[in-house]
Amino acid sequence: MAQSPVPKATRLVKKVGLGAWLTALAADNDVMAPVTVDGKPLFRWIGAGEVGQLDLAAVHTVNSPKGGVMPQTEPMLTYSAVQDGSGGKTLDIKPAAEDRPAVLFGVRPCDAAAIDLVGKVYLTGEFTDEQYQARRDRTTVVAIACAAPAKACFCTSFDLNPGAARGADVVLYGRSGPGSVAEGDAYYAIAYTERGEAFLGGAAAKAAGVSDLPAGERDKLEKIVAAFRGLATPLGKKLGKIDVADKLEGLFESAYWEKVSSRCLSCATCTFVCPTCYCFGVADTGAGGQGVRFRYWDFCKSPQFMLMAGGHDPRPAKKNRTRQRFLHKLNYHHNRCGEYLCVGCGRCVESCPVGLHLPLVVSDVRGLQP
Amino acid sequence: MPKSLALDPKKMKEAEAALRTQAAKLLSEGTVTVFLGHEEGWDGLPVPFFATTPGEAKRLVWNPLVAFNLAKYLLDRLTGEEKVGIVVNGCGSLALDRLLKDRRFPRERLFVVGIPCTGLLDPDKVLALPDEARQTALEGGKAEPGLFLKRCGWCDAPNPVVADVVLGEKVPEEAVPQQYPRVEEIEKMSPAERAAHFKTLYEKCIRCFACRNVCPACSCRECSLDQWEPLWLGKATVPSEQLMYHFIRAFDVAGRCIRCGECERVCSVGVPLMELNDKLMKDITELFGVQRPHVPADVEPLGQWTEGDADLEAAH
Amino acid sequence: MSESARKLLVPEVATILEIRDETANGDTKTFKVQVDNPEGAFKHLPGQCAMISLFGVGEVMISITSSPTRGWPLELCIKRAGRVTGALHDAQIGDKVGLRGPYGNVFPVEDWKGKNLVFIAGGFALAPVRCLIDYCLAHRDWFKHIDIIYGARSPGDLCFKSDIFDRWTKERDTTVSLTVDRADEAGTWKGAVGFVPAFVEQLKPSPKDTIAITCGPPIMIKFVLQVLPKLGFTDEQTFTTLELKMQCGVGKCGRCNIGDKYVCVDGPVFNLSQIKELPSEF
Repeated sequence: MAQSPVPKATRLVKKVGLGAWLTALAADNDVMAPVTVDGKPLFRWIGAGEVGQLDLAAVHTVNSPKGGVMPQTEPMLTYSAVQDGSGGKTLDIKPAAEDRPAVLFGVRPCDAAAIDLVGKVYLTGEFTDEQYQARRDRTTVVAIACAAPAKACFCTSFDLNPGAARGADVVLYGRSGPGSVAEGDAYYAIAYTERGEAFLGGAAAKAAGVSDLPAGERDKLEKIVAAFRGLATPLGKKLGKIDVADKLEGLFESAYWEKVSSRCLSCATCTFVCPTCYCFGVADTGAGGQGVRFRYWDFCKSPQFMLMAGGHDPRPAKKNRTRQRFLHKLNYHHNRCGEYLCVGCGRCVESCPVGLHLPLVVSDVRGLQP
Repeated sequence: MPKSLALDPKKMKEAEAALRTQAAKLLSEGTVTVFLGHEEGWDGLPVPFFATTPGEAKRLVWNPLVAFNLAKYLLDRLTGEEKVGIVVNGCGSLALDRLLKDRRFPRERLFVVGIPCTGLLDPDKVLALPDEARQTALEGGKAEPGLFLKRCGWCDAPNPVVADVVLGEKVPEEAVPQQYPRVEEIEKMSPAERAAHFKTLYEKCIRCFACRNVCPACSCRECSLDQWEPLWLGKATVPSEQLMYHFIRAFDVAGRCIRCGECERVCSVGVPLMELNDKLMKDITELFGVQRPHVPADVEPLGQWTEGDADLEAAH
Repeated sequence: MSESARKLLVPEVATILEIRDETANGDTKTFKVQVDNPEGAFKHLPGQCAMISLFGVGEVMISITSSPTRGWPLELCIKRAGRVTGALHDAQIGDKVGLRGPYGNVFPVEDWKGKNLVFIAGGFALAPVRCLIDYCLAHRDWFKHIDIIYGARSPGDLCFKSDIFDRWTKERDTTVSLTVDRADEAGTWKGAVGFVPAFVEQLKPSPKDTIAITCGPPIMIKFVLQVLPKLGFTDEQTFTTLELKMQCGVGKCGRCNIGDKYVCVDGPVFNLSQIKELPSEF
């Protein structure tokens, strides 16, 4: 499944220039980057003034950058009652105005791959989500390879690694290679898409002193990239390659789901921090004949998720809903699209208050009698 | 910081052994059909665990990291007649008592095993320590005040207030005046500063409802903030809705908050939720003279109307 | 707005032209709707649904009950069940709604040429079947004998009475069999009394060269799907439609995901062997 991506352009980015680069970008783009707020690393839209809080050392932000292409609350259309030509009233519907171009800066390879994975849901199949497409097309994803994967990382359990380029327009590789988080004075920046190429050659990049690769460093760059791509991940080593899709076929009725779901709090923490969760709801808000229809992140752990008007609920208990989450990620999506709906970022491991996470379920399922 | 806070892992290990025996006995005799406790989970972090056989009871743990309010899980077992066993320490028993006094679970269906507490550590902080420091804390019992759960800092109820059986000796109780320094800091802010403070903090909220779901004072069958008809809380995660959710919830639990701080602890983005709850508790102390607003009473100050109430006087 | 410029989840504006009570108690109504912009009129096939919405309230997925052979305006039969359907029931003729579609897969009618058809419906679930029945009747030569077996709780709950009594009973080589769970007190009901599944078992439709299509409340479907195999119908001969909560209608939001299917794009039409492959979450 993983093909070696072909670099389209290579540059050198000095760390001292990063601040200027982001400040210049923030003039014409919405910039999302990792910042540490009260001790928690978060991905958020930053203003030019917050560039100084950039924290590229945090391998694991609490939330993922998926909000950059899939906002938690996204207006789809506005409606307003207007007079029609013949003295009556009609409705004026306008698709939501487009936001500015965006740059998601400092995304990890797992998160970039997740953007591609989820993008397939929105962009392929019988219908294409034009709003998502337009947003994706005006977003540049700048990833940074992980110098030191965190304890809960397991991207290598899927077709990924700490230097992978899937879903990224540009990937930054620390010039002194992996192993030291605060290493080196610069990054090798490799563009893998036309958008990335244009980004590295743009005015903001030039203003930040993004320069050509110094003569004679081509070999070093290739070794460094290979080193990042060959890094192991701690939890990935423990889990090995994920292989449970087939076994799960026969486990729908297993008593396991009742046991493992009993401690679930039915909150949305895992779903909302997860970069590959994409379910949404639709709601209207307005008054006096005008308003907005928007979509918002929803979560299958919610008791209201499948609840129908009239009271019928196909998933009435925690057992059903917990089972849905893990079967969707590890079996249904795999059957439908040929890959697991997980990139091994480890956020569910770090965020679930009761430790009900994907690696646990994988490891339990492997041990279950069919 | 209460003087009784002296982590005693050895005592906890003894209590753990007694707990396993007790739970196994309750299950094998059929006194209870399930026992709510903790077991060791992934990475040494204890997780809620519900033993249904004497064999499973052997997996129960009792160590400095058992921070969960197990009482909330009783709401998953409302239907049926069978008895449920549960282990609680001091704050765990306050959570249980909250649900009992809110009449959300019948006392007759419970068998409560109480274990007096000398403090618990914050699992996230402890697991982030290097191995040696972690061992010193967990096995040696040497821990900086900052490693304890926040709620241990103001704990004045180390002995279970509800129990059918108590394992271990009682901890000497001491009066710990409830203080709210952070609230006092915020009260000194100007309105504009306060508005900015709350807006900035609650912008981080991702509306996951972990705070509500873990809270022992939040036990409604259907939360009004989930309702579609009427849509009290809009689905958009914009500052006005975020503040409304948290302010409404703070008022709904006002007078019934047990100051366990679990809401803050489970919040993945680090919103300091207890600022609101502490403010309301401080108000309750000042307005109604209730010195220990975090300890469940048969009738709470906001659950009764009395002529001569301080806030009524103020309104006139 | 033309088809190509329209964004995926942005509906057309449509007007309610007519509202007709189907049941005596008024809990089920058929709405006739016409899009204001002729370019927004879409073509549908039997089995498909549309998202109808009241702006400021919400959207709901409703199967299209008028046959495509009748073109526009479309008819949607809506039962008052919750917030959005309730608001629609309170709407007036001339009110504006949002409409987008057509969504879902279609009954594989072409595969049924030369066969007998048995339609089994209960209550207001006759609505999606009605579209199919009228479509098949418009292509009457394609099929041999047609059986329409329909039941409701009481005579007042029978929907589409004018279609049943004024048209279907008069079609050639077409048998209409009606039943009610309990007759009316006035005693004017002279037809069969009893639940639909038992009624079907009584009528004993032959499975030879026959396709069975059934829609109804979950409990009725459950028993009908036990009766049909007893009568010799195979899983491939039996079709139904699934009803689930839907939000986007286009296979993105995950609401109607069961197993590896999205009911809004892979369904709502399924044959029984496909249903058996799905986890029982509907």
